[in-house]
Formats: sequence, C-alpha cells, structure tokens
Amino acid sequence: LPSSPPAAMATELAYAPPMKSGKLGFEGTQEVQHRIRITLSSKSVKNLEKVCSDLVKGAKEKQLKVKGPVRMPTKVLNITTRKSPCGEGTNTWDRFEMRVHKRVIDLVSSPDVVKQITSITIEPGVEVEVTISDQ
Amino acid sequence: MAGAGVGGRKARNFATFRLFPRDGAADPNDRVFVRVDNNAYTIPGFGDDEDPSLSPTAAADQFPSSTSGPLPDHVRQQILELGLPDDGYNYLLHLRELRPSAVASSFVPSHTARPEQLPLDVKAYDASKVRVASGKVEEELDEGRTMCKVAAKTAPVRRVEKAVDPDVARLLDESEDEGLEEDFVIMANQAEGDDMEDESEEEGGGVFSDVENDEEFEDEEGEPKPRVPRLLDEQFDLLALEEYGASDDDDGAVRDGEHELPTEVIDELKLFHNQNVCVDEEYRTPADFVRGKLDSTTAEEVDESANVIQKCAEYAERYLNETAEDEDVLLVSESSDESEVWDCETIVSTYSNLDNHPGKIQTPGNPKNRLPKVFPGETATTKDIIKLHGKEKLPVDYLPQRKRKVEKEKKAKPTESSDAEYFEKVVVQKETKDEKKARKSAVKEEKREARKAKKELKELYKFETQKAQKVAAVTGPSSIRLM
Repeated sequence: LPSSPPAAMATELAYAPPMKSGKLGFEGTQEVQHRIRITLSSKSVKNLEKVCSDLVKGAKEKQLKVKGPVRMPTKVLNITTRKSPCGEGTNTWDRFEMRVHKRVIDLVSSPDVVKQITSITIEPGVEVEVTISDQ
Repeated sequence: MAGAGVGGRKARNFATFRLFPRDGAADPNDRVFVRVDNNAYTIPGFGDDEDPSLSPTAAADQFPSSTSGPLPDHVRQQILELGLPDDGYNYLLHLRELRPSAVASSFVPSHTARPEQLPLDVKAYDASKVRVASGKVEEELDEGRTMCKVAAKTAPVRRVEKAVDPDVARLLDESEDEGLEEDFVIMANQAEGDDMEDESEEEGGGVFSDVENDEEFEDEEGEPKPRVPRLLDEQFDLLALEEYGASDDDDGAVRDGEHELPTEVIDELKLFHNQNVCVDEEYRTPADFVRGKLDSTTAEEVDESANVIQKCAEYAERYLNETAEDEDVLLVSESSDESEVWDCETIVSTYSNLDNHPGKIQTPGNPKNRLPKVFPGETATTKDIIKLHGKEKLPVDYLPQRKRKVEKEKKAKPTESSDAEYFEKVVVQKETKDEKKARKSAVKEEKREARKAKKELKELYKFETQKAQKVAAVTGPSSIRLM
C-alpha cells in the first residue's frame, strides 16, 4: 500500500508537459508582456558592445526571450575639407569621418523589467532607445 | 510586421522612449526614459517623469483631439514660445524630435525670444495718446477723441519699441522755455559769478574753446574776471603768452578765443551794411566800394538804386518774354498721343545689359551651306529615316559642321557612291564599314588635335591660372574651379 502514492506521483510527473521553466502564458507574471525593441547607438564600438552584452546577459538571467544583438551597418559620416585656410597651394584635402554603430535587441517582457535592466547597464556615450509594442 | 488594410497607414500601436540624462543632474548616468513619439499608445508602467524642457513632443498630455475647441493654455503657450502663430492649430504635432546623440548636444529653448519684431527699417511710435481734434469746432479740444477711438481699424500690438528715449523726451519737454544757451559751459563755470555777465556773453556767441574760456575773458566794459584766479590760471596765462605772443591782452576788444576782426574792418562792414548796395554785374568786394566811395560822391548811391530799379524792370520783361516763348515750346512737346508711342531708339535705350544680353551682329550666314548638298547616306529608301548615332544620338549625316567630311566623302567615293546606293537598296540602310571607319577616324583626329591644342594652351597659361586662383580664393565663389 505505501507503494502506490509514489507510482501516482511518477505518472503525474510524467504527464507534466515539458516546458521551459521561465516561459509562462499570457498574464504570466501578472504583467502584460510586450514586444520590446532596444536600439543602441554609439560612436565607440567597445562601449556599445559592452552594453549590448550586459543587456543580453541581464535579459537571459531573467529568462526573457531575447533576440540579438543585431548589428546594423555602420554609418560613416564624412566631411571633406580643404586643408588650406586660403586658396593657395596644392589642393590637399582633409577627410574627417564619424562612425555611428547601431545594435538592436528584441525582447519579450514587461516594461518594468526592461526599465530595470536598462538602468543597470550604464555606459557613457551610448544612446538607448526603447520601443514598446503589443505582443 | 503585417501590413495594414486597404487604405490604412500602419497601425501605430507602439511607444518609443529614449534615455536622456536627467535635467540638471550632475551625474551623467542618472537618466530617465522620455517618450519621443506621438502615438496614442500608452504604457502605464513606463511613464517616467517627462522632461518637458528637452523635447517639445515629450509631454503626452499635449495631444488634444483634432476636433477639440481651443487648445489648452499650456499648449498655446508653448506654441507661442516657439514663435509659431496662435491660431488654434496645434503646431506641436509637426515638431520633429531632437536626437541628442552621443556627441551630447542638447536643445535649450530661448526664454528671451521675441517673436514679433519690426523689420529694421521700420520704427513704431506709440500714438495711442494722440488727440484728434474734431474738424468743425477748433477752439475746444475734444478731450475724448484719442487715436484709438478714431481709428478705423486697430490691432493689438504686444510691445512697441520706443523710438524716442523717454528720458531724452522728458528732458526736451522740460527745457522748452529755457533753451540751450550757446555758452552754457561758461555759465556752468561761473555759477558764483555776476549775473550781468550773461548778457554780454550772449552777444559774444560763436565758438569757444573750453580752455581759453576762463582765462582770457574780459568784457568790453572791462569788468574784472568773474571768479577767483587760481595758480593754474596764472600759469596758463604765462603759457599762453609764450605761445601766442603778447598781443592778446593789448587789444581791448578781444574776447574769449573768438577770432575778432580789427575794429576798422568792423566799422567798414557796418557802413557797408548801411549802404544797402547790391552787386550786379561784376563782383565787388567791400574794399572796392570803399575805393569807389573815395572817388565818387554819394550820388552814386542814388544812381545805384536807380540802376537797380531799371535792372529789375529789364529782368521782369525778359522773364515775361521767356514765359511766352516757353509756352510755345511746351505746346509743341506736349503732343499727347505721339509722345506715348515708343520708337525704336527709346526702346533700345531702355534695354540694359544687365538683363539683356545682346548678341553680336554678324553678317547673316548662308542657310544653304548649313546643310550638305549631298547627304552621304541618302537614298530613295532612307529619305524618310534620319539615322542617329553616337552617345548624344545626333543625326550625324545632317550635321552642319561636317563640311570637310562631306567633301571628303564626295571626293573619296564618287564612284563608290553608286555602288553603295545600289547595295543599300538591297541591304537595309547599313552604312558601309569603310565609311563608318573613315568618319570615326576623322572625328578622332579632330578630337586628338583639339586635345593637343588645349593642353598647349593650358601649359602656356598655367601661371596665369595660378594667379587667378589666388584671387578667386579670396573673392570668387568656391564653385568655380580654375585649375
């Protein structure tokens, strides 16, 4: 007789549908889940990559569905000017450029969580833009 | 993303926030989320304290419905602050969001912006207090008729920049009766002195130099100096004596720095005034008159006046005659309709080279030699079709400049032309390879020669272009490339 409960438990456990522990249904954590896109842009790649990795790591810790970081093509802004302040001399030109790097990370979570995550990962020179949309 | 329905825009059910550094915070890491779009989608959990000073589109509550009545006051105030007109339309909808990128540029609105400025060449005067007299009764000023009441149309003006400085205006009003004395400097300096001095000083008038005022003042009556002489005065006197000689103090009639004429001249001038002489034909100085007076008697004066009268009469007659003549002349020139009609000369004179770029007058060319007499490719079949060749798609055969080529062709292939024609009747309009080759090589030759000539010229004048570039770098527009 003492053997039956374990058997029952075993069958119950067997029928438990295989689910990722973090994945909950609609209104899972009592908060609406939104699709969130975080756009990070910066002039320096190092800082940007650091912020990206922090974000992704933070999101994964919270068991959120993360896509990214998607690296957009770098925009190179050029300014080409004459070196000379006057018109005299061989026509030498300066070529200045500014490179803007952009990364995009998609998440599915509630806005509060995102707020937390983005407030942690702070790096100077990185611009953060968050777009929140319906699930 | 699924596209929207038939005519619809994509459904804007998203919200975009950006991290801005908090306004006024020292720590750059202290950032808040600020909304940067205008969609109606709200997210309750994400609304940080919005930063209204940073972005005009930040506040979500400034989004009234399109059909609402008057805009809320703060919206209107914001619109006015930006310099946009206050006409009930919410211009804030059209403002683009600013992107203070990592380069850290932030927008600070100007609190001292004055949207209504007069153009620089216009001055506005405040005429609200001007009294307008009613035309009929002139004695009594109608107290109530100010400009505001009388004007047919008034519009409110926010602030009128005063054209006249109020302080200046006040002073001018106050000092109307007194008037500004010409020698106010002296008056200011001798405030302790006698009052009788004032009258004689006024006679003096003229231009004074401040320095010499106090020291050399001596009346015609010979009254003593008005204020206590100081050591400095004595020193100055000495200096003046050294510089300008001792003649100053000798002359009794010398005044303060005024360039006084000697008394004899003054007397003569007075006499001259009394004489009432007029200078008619020849120029005569007072000296001449004096000499004249010595020679002749005073009877000349009477003659002079008689002369004058006579002269006047003559002039009057002449004037009358002239006017009579002028009238005739005027009549002639005033032929009404004819003068209105422009003739070619007047029209040409009204043209200016600024607008009108006249061409050079040349002998009219012979239109016949524009077209080659024998079109090389022409046959009975190809008459309707004009072939276009080359990059510019030109009717090569019909170009006017190809005289040489035409002649060449004519000479080179007089015999072949008939054959060519024959063949071309059979073959569909293909220019024979030789012809094409010849033509192309001719073109190439020309181009080669032109290039060579250009290069030679360029080398020859390289120095000149360098000099011109130097000048143009300073004065000329940068779009013109000289070298």
